[in-house]
Amino acid sequence: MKSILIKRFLQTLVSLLLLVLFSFFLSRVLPGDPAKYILTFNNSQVVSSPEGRTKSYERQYRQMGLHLPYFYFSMESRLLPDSFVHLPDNDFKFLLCSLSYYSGNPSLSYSIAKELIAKKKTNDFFLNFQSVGISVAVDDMLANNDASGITKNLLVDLSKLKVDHNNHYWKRWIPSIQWNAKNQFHLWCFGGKSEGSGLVSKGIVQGDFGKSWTRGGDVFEMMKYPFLLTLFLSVFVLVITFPLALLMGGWLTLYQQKWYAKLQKPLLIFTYSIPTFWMGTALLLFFANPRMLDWLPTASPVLETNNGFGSWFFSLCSQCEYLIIPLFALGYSTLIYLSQLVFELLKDELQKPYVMTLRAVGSSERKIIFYYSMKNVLVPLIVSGMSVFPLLLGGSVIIDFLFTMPGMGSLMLQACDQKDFPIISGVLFVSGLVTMLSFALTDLFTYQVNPLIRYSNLKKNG
Amino acid sequence: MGEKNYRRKWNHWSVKVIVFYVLVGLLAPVISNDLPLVRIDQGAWSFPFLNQDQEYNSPLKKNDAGFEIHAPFGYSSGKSDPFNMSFRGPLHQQFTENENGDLVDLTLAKRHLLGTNLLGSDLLADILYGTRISMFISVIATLLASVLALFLGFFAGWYGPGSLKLSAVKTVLIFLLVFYWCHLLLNIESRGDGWLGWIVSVFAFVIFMKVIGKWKMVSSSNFRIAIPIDAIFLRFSELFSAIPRVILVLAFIQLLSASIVSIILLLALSAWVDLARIVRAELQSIKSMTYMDAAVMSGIKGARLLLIQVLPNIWPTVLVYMLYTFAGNIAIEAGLSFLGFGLPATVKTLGGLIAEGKNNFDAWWMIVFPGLWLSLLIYAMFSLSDRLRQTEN
Repeated sequence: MKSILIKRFLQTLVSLLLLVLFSFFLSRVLPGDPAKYILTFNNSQVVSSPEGRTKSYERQYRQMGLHLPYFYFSMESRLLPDSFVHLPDNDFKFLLCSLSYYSGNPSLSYSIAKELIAKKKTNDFFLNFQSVGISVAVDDMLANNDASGITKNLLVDLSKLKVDHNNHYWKRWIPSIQWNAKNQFHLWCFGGKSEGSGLVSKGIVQGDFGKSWTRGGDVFEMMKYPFLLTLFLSVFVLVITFPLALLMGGWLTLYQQKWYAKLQKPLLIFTYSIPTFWMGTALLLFFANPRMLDWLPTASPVLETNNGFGSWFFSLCSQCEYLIIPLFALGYSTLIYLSQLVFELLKDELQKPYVMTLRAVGSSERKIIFYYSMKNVLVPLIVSGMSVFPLLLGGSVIIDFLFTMPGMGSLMLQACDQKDFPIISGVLFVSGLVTMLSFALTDLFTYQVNPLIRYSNLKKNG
Repeated sequence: MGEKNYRRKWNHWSVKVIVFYVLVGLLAPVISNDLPLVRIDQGAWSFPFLNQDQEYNSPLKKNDAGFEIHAPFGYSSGKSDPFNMSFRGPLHQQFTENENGDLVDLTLAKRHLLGTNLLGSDLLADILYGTRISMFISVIATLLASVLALFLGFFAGWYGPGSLKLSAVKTVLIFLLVFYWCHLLLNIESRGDGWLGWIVSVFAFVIFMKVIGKWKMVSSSNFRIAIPIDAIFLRFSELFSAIPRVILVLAFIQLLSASIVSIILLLALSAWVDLARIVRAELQSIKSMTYMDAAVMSGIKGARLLLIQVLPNIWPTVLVYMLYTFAGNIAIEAGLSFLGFGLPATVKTLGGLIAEGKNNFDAWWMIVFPGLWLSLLIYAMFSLSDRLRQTEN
């Protein structure tokens, strides 16, 4: 038992590590510049002159640790020093990397790039290089000497680069591996300081997902209550549907010989095949529409988020009539799936010999199904039932959109609208985390319930 | 018995429904089009419906010898009908203009049978064209996902925990190659001419492996490393099953812009988990069968073994799960369009139509008809998979 528990724990750890890497990857491949977004919310650093703006931007860039390499080890081409890859100025970075990669002479490339970028609006080389690529641009430049914005010294340097290129170009295929003690992943994951004084982040280990790009707030703070609402709804649905599914599955098994039992299955499958978003829309259309049945409110609940968890929960409970349609739209497919599962499991269970004994003894069919067989069905039901948890979390995106609930789905959709990537990767991470933990808990539960596993240690010893 | 059973298995209403949907998807422009399909004018044949963009306003004269063949439903998707704009329902009065410029009722043959939307485009035509797009995306995505899932499931199931053992030298070599490819991949942006590196590395790898394989010290070495393919597969599948698919696709659609190709790729890359797990489990149970031993002993190896011996035996299960995957893909694609993150709004999709209806509850037809149409397709999928499962037992 103990060894199995340790094994499961290690497996969960590995999965979590994968999840962390996955969300880190998502948060870094994003298009857009975090430093720029954050600067727009830092009112104290508003500087009017363009030079000052560039300076404060570069300070911010370094403060956020964006100049650091991504991971603990980095693999670049031998001709490309690692410090070139994460420079703040995009044009300069691209030019410098291309020159260095072209020639294999970092120091000379750096001086040339500095000179070129200082007057990038007026020199032909820069424009030419952006359209045709570096090697053609260098050849062109050396071919006609009187291009604008190019000095004699620069031409000499460029011809030196060309010589270097001819001698060293093959080195570009050789990788060089570097160990980086300080890197973006470490900062993102465990927190710490970048250059300068400010703390970059506390790390996602302490629940710091960074700052929102479009609203400036702390992502964790913004995610807290929406996430609680989504989790509450999902768990609520699970808690309600499990007993209901047992009941329904029991009934289905009990009355499977009756004539109307033939109708049940197609009806249930049809209801199951209705997509969540259409079910929600149709429910709104029929039950929350002044022109049809005006029974339930269409507006979303207004939740108290300023005075702590208690008042939030109270405000949610006091507006529970807003949750009826969303809960139904979220839960009906789960209910049907689970009841079908119970039905299948019970059908298999009734083939077993002990049921025949019970029948011979004279137990009623009702008691066999609801008392004796149901106990054996519980464990496989919970194991497969937990697989609907990610479906519920995903379904809550659509539910939130449809009923304008202030849940995680709304947050996600707003973030997607505004390309607010810290929120997106935060939501992805948290939903994955919760589901993984629920999987692990389910496994623990089955180990505890299953005597074969619980006493596996004893068996081995004895 | 087998032949008869096979026929009976497919003799089900859901098969007909799915075939009907496929035909509708394929033939949507022929079924519903405002341009004539064929036009014979003074012996010259033309097919005006093939170029939709062209303005077509030269109706045949009444006494002309030529004739036209029209589609059964006379409206194209997305083209607005100026006389029936702003949500004209199937039961409402629908108008057209006669020769004198007066508004008159539409004849039954030209009515918008399922109503129109805000811009006056015909809902029936939109549904038919939407089916075309949805089916195309989901079919391709499901096929891609199935191929991926079969590959990964076979790989994980066949080697299992720790039975892929490589000699240490080869392991190191493979590791180096993968490492080098990562290096090439990472530097792909700044390097314009890197294909040489790929080719040279592959050739060098293959030749080196051959040479080393000849060397007895390596090939008969006792020092072998067991690679935990199974564990790696399980961890990755746990990762992909833990993140809700809607959230995963929503997040990555922000990186790639939403197009048919990117949606197909994202659906395929997020849908392989369930099927691959099933394939792995089935393969593990099949591996201990006697006919597998016989096949292995008769010298069948590798991909041939899996495709000829294993795949036919797990095919029924795979088919059932492919149907589930298909239904899931259709639902997620429609959900994406419903949320407004799917294909651009100019392309009509089933989810997009329902989203249009959601903004105006007076237009109940915009919600009811596309939804029923979509649900019927998914229902047919589930019924068929249920049928297949039952006849399997």
